[in-house]
Amino acid sequence: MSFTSFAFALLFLSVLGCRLTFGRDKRARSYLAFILGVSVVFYAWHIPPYLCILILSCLLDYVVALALPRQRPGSSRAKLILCLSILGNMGVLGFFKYANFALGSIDRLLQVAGLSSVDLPRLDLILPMGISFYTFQSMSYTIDVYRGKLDPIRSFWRFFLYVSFFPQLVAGPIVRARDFLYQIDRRRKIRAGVMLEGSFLVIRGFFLKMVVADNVAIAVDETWVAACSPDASSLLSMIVLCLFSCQIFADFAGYSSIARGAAYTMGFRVPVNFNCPYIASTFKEFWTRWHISLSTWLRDYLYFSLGGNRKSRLRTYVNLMIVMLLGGLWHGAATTFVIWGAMHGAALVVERMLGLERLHQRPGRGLIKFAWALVVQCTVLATWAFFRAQWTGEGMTLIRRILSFDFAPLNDSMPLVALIFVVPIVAMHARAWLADRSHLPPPGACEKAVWAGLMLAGILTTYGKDNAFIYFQF
Amino acid sequence: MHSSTSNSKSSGARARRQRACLLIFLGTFALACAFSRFLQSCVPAKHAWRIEPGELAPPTEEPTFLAYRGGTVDHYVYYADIGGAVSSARSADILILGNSHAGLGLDAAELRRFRTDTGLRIYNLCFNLNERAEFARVVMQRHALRPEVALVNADYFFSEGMSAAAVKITREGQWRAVMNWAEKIAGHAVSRRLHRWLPYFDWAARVTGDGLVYRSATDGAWLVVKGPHDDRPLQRPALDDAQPSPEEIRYAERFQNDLAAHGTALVLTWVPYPGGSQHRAEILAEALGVPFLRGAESGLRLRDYSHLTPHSAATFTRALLEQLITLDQIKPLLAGDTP
Repeated sequence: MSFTSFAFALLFLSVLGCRLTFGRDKRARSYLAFILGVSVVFYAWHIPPYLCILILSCLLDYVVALALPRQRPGSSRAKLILCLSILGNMGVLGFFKYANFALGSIDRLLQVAGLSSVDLPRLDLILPMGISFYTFQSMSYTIDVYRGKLDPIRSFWRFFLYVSFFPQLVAGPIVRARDFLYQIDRRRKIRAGVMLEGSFLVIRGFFLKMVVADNVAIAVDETWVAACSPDASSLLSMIVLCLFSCQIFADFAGYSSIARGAAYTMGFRVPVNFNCPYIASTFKEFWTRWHISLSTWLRDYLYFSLGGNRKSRLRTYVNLMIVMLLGGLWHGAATTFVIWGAMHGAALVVERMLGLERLHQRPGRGLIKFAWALVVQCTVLATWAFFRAQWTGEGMTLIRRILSFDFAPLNDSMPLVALIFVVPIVAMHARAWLADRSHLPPPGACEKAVWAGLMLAGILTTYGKDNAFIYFQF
Repeated sequence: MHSSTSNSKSSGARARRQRACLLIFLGTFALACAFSRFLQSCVPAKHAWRIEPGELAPPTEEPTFLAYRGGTVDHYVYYADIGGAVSSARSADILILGNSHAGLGLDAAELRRFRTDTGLRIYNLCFNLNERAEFARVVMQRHALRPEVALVNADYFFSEGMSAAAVKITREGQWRAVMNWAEKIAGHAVSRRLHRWLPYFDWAARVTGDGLVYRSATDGAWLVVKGPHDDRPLQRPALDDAQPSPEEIRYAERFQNDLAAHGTALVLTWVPYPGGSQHRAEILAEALGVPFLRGAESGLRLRDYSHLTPHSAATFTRALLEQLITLDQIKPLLAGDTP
């Protein structure tokens, strides 16, 4: 089920109704059971049989986590049991997400080897909604139990509620078990401040999605092919790429904001997933502001497991590349995502080689900071070309057209008009930049009330064409 | 004592602040809405519209269903058999297949008059999104539609593949089709009420298409409530010598054989528009050995770049139906000699 659907509106209103009536004491079992039921409906709304995959994935990690404390920490049996969880989760993810990519790659290899007569089948699969998110979430629990950072939970239903909690089920944030499970049993009364803050986050999320992302998407979809053509104007290519970078931010940050707001009004806290990433002045800072829950997941469960930066410099660079390549592949089974990840990995390696990764925390050096921030943001922008491209050549052409500096006038005013929808994103980032440097106080309740009023009016009068969230396909 | 007093004071102040925030929110929202109404008067009407009472309601008294609103809806209706539209198609003697050129180019009133005059049930099963034979075949097979005659607008109709929307619908199946249809209907109902009070700034109407089309549940006719309303002459190319490709002919033969297996005869036509080719369609009919109906060929005008105006659609349909009843495939039906 999509957040921008009437079905979700009805579902969420029913949850709010319960929260304000029999869910006032959040610990109430009936309220938890209701949230669990709603989460099941929310997930089954897409393709009902896929609910079985979610339940099986949860069952696997629940059983594995229960078995782990009985083993000696670090023993080969414990490792074997953990491998069972990882292989099970990655197997399901791999089958649905990467089977066709793998078959296609094998097919190409066979053609290179002159065995073009071998006709490999293609699987006509619909990707289960949110599978990349919930498998990572479920796996993080098992790994935490294996590492002794968390005690296994005895109740399957509570564990199932943690994984299937509907605000974050489909596109994150990827919540850690240790940040969520304790909230289930926490007693908390309804407070007007919390409800208002949650409502603000929900309105902000819908504004980012329905007004910014969906309207910008119209211009991007309409002009992308022209911007990627070999005779495109640099101006067009540049504007379209900027528009897409705003679209993907507004789309994903919008989803995360709705998820946080919805969870907040229901009495749960979900971590921040986006923090104005386009004001980051280093690549390292970018990844502490963009899809924070995924980057911290990759850091904690992959980068650290590979040795992080505790081994040689070379090994650190290799680890960074591996993490970012897999991060790219996590987004989708396509060469374009691998290139996107590789570009980010290479950028992080170069930044570390130059010793610039902590530049933003050091005082002074204004000019160097500004120059490097420019490099960072231009590189991030360039990587989006591959993220959006249907194939590698398309992204390459777009970058080449921008670098040709052929600023021919635009034939179509649409991309220029669409830049109006970029203004809220720029304002949001400018405000965060000023607040970060203490030139402005953090937004107060009154300021938020004004923004919420404006954004709600914007949603009702300027909503764009109905589009699925981009991250639904991941 | 002192502490409890200060606590109650601070909680009282907090409550007052929260009430003030709520009022600020509502005030800003009301002001922004009022400003949007003012802005509407400054923006060209096509970019900022407000629904007047009664506007956007179904255009006729007879049963209709929403077919297009910011995207296709009738694909869901026919795929999932929602609201009885398919049962009318199932009982049709003549089924019209094709894309939006035929959908809008065949006049609802003329089709209805034909039905009254001849007693033959004719049903317009054309789809928007430039849909081709594949989706029509899926719908016909799924719901066992077996008319006596299939009248096909042969405008690149006979080729593999479906529109992106049709691919999604057929992959996701019945459940999703019904759910997506319900979302579209709810969206339409809400927007009809909302935009009586608030304008909608449709800055990209040129691209998104701000059309609103209903369809008759009885005969599938397209009833355009909101859409392009230009009136420009139809200019046909001076030299029309386009040929169907061998793949197209092969596909058409397969389609014809599938129809014939269920006792359906194929008849071709071509609804004129500047980008297509009548010659191509005629060659195709010749290759298949089926009749080709030309309809009206002159004096036609367009409502946009490729669809006939209502008046031209009526002219074209009248001529087409006159030619249709002279066909050998139709004569037994007129005599009531149906299997």
